[in-house]
Amino acid sequence: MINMNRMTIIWQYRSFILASVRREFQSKHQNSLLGAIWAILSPLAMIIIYTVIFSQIMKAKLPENDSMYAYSVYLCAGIISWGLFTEIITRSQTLFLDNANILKKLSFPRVILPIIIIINACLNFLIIAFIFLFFLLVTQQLPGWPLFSVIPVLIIQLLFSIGLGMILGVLNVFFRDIGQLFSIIIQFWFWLTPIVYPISILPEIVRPALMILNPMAAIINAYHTIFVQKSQPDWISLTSPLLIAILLCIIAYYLYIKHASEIVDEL
Amino acid sequence: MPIIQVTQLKKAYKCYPSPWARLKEWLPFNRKQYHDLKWVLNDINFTVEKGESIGIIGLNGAGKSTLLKIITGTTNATSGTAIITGKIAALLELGMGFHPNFTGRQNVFTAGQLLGMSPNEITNLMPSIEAFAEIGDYIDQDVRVYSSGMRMRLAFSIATAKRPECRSTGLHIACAGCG
Repeated sequence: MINMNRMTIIWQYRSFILASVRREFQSKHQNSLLGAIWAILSPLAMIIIYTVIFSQIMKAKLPENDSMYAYSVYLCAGIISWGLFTEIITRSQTLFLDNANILKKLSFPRVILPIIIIINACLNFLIIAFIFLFFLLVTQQLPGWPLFSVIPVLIIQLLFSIGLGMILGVLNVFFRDIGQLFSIIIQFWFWLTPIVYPISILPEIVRPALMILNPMAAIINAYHTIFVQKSQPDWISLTSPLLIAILLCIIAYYLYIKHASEIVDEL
Repeated sequence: MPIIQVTQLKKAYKCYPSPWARLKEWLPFNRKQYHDLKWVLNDINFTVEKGESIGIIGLNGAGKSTLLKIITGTTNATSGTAIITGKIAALLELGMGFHPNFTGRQNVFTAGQLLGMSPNEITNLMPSIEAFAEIGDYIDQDVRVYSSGMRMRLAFSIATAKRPECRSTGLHIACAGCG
């Protein structure tokens, strides 16, 4: 019943959500001559640089893969999805602070704010993902049917990111140190996740622990399986990220409910 | 049946001596309170009938805006109730949700939706909003090129475009000079 109500409220505000998304996208590219083309050029540059440097100049190869492009595919798949993760986290961390003005003065369903963040991040991600897929098509590296396994993995990743992001967002209102602290943590987290290096270089004992304790390791590993090995990810390894993601979303919800009015007073 | 019924309304803000005090209070299994309550509203009772206009007068920091915020639902009361029947339009501040890099027309849509209007409604109200704002062709230009008076007129037109059952207006509106 409550959920039905919530859904209809979101539906009523759909055009506001879309307008906000469009506005954010436009304001990023307005007043530049090439406009939205920049959204394509910078990820394209990233992919080209990684491919040229690692496959042509450094001749880097993955341990169990002979393909010339394997390492740059590995790198791009990881970095693109990590980018989606950090975008959602950093945006939702400052969600309440950024929107302080309207939160203090207008009453509207607050749930539309994280929705705007997710849609925006997904939009940016989709642009990069399509360029990546185009690159895979050109180099004949498309994974085929396992490509569709990306969708459930992506959903788990989104749940995890927004759950964690909203918890940090609520805490950041009361303790501004959270934002500072997390910008450091995220750097360690990046290198604690097999994105640049293959997981096989880690000692055998560390691997299972990393997969369970670091949900991003399991998620990015799933992308690697899909794009580099071109096969279905190990679904069992994704149960731990899924459970953690759901748990984080529940915690975020109750944390927000408990402190909702205090947030407005504190801003 | 009164449109607004405020009974025994109280509002206190939490005051912490230091940020560390809040952290201590947030720690699990903590039973001790480290904050002081600063009471800004204490036992407010009144009713507003349909067609009535009420002014709230007080010194700076007396809690007028806080009271309006509780009535419009942006913030919650510490205790007591404010029962509102019908739709309420809050006019705490004009030009909320305006974005300088978008045209007046685009801003009417986003700002109107933030005030709870549907896009259809706004499309229908657009001619009257345009007429009331009296800013002519500027409606299709970016809000950043508006003069502050034009911005005010447009914001005021959006805020007053619809006739709600009840309108709560912040005091500083009176000196905006947008007549």
